[in-house]
Amino acid sequence: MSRASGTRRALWLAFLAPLALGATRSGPTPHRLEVSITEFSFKPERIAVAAGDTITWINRDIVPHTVSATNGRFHSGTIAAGARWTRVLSAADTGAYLCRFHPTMRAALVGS
Amino acid sequence: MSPTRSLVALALLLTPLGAARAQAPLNDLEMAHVAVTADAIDMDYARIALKRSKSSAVREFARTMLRDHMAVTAQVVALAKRLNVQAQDNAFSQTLVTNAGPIKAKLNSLSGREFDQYYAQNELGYHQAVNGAVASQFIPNISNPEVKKAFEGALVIFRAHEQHADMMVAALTK
Repeated sequence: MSRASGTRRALWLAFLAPLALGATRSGPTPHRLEVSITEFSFKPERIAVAAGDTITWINRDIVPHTVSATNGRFHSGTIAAGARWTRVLSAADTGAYLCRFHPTMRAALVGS
Repeated sequence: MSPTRSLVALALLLTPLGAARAQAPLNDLEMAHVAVTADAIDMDYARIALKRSKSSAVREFARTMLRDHMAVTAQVVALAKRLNVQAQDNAFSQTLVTNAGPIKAKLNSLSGREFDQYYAQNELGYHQAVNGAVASQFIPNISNPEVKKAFEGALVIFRAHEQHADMMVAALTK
């Protein structure tokens, strides 16, 4: 390997390594995440989160929904059709949640 | 099966809803009328529940029925307006209205736990019957793709209502 190509390789590794770490959620940087509420389901149904992450639920149904922790830790109130609700998560926010209007709609925030 | 549940199921099987099912397929505009009529009937049941029930679970369910059926009706009306058509009254819609009369009278005559159980059983039976008709009789026969999509979306909502009603029935029979 020439000196020039070795330098290029080192630069690429330096650039790609943090991206790879971010993809596995092991870095300290908070993430912005999104959950779609569509066809009476939370998608994804289970999502890996960490304290400090910001998560936004977007209601794509034609009826209102809520995002409510089953342990009462958080409750969005009514999220109208087409509206969204955002929360910065704390470590205690992980666990099951549901829509209070439609209790068959259930999902979970999973600690990563 | 509880007496109330079997009574509701029997009423749904023996009343003209069964006869209406056996008739020729409805056209898109007639099906839209059935959807709006079915919504209106369930909203009437919900309004009675909000007047007569003291159960927080039953009242929350009734509020959800009002919100959701209002939204479905608004969608059907908006679609009809955009397509420049009008929903057409038909035998199926009339049968639903006829069947609803005695059920509303019964609901208005009950109170307490007896009301809650009858309301919950009726909601379960009503959604089962309507969902069955929408899935097997309506959606396969809809011509307009936009109308079909609207019915498929409504069926997702009504199936969630059916499951919710099932949960309510189970909780009230404990």
